[in-house]
Amino acid sequence: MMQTENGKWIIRLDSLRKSYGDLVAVKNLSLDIRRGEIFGFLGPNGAGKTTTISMICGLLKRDSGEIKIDGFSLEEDYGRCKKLMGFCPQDIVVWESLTCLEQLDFTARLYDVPKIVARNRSLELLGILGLEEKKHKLAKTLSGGMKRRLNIALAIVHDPEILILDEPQAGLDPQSRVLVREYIRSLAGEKTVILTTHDMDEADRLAERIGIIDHGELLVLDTSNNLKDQVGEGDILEIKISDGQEEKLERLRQNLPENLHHLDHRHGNLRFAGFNIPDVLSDLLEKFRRLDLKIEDMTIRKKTLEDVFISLTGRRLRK
Amino acid sequence: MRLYPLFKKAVIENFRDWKILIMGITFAPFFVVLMYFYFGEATETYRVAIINHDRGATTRDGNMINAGEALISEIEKFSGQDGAIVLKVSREQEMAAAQKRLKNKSVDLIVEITENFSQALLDYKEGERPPPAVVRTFGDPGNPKYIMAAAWSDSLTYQFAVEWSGLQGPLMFEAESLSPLKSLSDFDLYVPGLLGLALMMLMFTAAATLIKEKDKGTIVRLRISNMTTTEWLVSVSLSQVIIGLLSMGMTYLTAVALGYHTTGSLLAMIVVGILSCLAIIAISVMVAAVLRTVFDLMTVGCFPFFILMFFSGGMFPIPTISLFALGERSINVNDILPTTHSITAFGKILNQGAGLSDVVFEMGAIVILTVLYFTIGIWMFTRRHMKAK
Repeated sequence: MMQTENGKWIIRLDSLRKSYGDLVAVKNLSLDIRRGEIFGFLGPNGAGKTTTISMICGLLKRDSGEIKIDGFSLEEDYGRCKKLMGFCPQDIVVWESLTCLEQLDFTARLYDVPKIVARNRSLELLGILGLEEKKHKLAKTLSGGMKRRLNIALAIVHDPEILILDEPQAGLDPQSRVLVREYIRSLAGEKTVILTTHDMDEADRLAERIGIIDHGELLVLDTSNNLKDQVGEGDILEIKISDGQEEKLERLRQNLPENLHHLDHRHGNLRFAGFNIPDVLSDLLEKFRRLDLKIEDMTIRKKTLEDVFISLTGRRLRK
Repeated sequence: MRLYPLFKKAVIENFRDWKILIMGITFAPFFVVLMYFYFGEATETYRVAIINHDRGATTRDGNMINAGEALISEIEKFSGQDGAIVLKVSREQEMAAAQKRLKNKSVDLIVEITENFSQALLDYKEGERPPPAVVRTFGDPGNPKYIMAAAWSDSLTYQFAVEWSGLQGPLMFEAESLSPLKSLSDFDLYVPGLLGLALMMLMFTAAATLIKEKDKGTIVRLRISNMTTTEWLVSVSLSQVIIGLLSMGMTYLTAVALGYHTTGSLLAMIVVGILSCLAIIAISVMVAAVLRTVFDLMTVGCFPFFILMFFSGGMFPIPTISLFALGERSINVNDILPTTHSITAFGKILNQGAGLSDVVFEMGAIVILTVLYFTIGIWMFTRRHMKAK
């Protein structure tokens, strides 16, 4: 087990690098993940999240760098390391011709879990994930949401210390989404969960610490609240105006109400941050009217991780 | 041990994904039925049109004889070891009509007995030396049955002439069967090859079992588990041996139901069958190593299957290209295919009544090739599908 000055780490990535030809998918990524935490690995599609976790699982070979799992080198002790991990791939990966119970039993047995323990664990998971009634049904007869839940159950049936979930909620219906979210939340403290997602809200709800990755580089790593504080204090005011009013906007920026800070302006979207926005709103709208700036839409909301991502990269996450 | 759960899963999946399985185990029995309808179970029959121009002759004591009619009767009666008629005779009056039948392949041979056939034989018998009796035969070299029909007809005619004239010629044919068993029909000769074909179909089920994991992505779950590639391949092999024996058994029983019978050792057949299954599974592992999807298998995968099917000598004889000699045995190019030895062994067991000790060479060759191909296959499969890249 590895100790650092900040506590216990179960996964340590040191200067990890992976490229596909000229494309560098992961650039010198260094990261420590604490034992028992839910860690959110956030980034847009193609940011390098799946490549990173594939390297952690030993499915991809890294170009350079080192991975340590519970103090063991992944390269030298792969057999020992993989016993500690459970992996739920982004795609639904189930055996279509096996029943839910059969494939959970089978997967557990591949990890040398005794037969009776495997059966009990399989039944327990089917119950937790709302698949009890489908235990004797072939996977190919399940709905997409059910298959997703089975996909997650297969990753954890052997009771690993580390659970790696690659976009576990992609394609889930709202009911399944809540079920999966609650299940992941229930694992906090017992298991180390690495959750890759491009869904900021989901990461915000679940993860204790969040690492944001883009173009293969780790941009920030902190708790959700600390990351959001980096954007600015208070809430966010978003105002949509028509394009081509740069000169007026510049005059507005120089004459903003107190406690309101202009963050950015992209494609007609203005973002401001500040405390007690409703109190200064009438003053702000008056300034818009005087400058003859036409407002198309307006929203006041709490800060999100997406604001953090936009501040860091200058673009929205889902684009 | 993870062998049992892997084996159980492979068996369950193979029987639930029944389409490839059904294709695999019914293909060879279907061919058995096809071959039976094409060749039939009895000794091969050749159709002969005979034109008898023989005018007959009168002996010194005043009896009329017609040796031509007597010859036709002999030809009609001639049968093989199983009692079946060999030459099916039909009579024609005119050569033109007989040739028309030859052209449209309703007969394989025309035999024309000339006018003085009886007189010439009678003269020889009474000590004179006239010009020899003439019997003409006509045939189409493009018809593969022509040569055999002519050989039987010529042999019978020569024998008849010797017996009728009472003259012992300088040459006598003595034909003796080397097999202690019944004579073999073409259908009988195909059965060992069809058993080989039944096992070759394993290539599809075995390779599909492996490649499906890649195709569906489930290979990821196997790779990150404690399972080893060898454990997986061994368990898949065991499940495929069951399917192979099922397929071989169905093929054999279909042949038996259609009249085929053997005095060979069933134990030897099963042992050779199991070894052959393993050899074909080894080839399947190599095939699965170069493919990515089940679609690839059903298209590109047919190529190695056809090589096994057509170059193992089970479907038709192929030219022998010798590589080197091993003692008294010549090792040919197609000996690198384990199915060549399987079909040879099945032939010896089923059609010559051989036991295990008679097919030691073939079993040894299958084992050596299996070990070689498994080693290559596991290396290729691991490198292509199981290792991190």
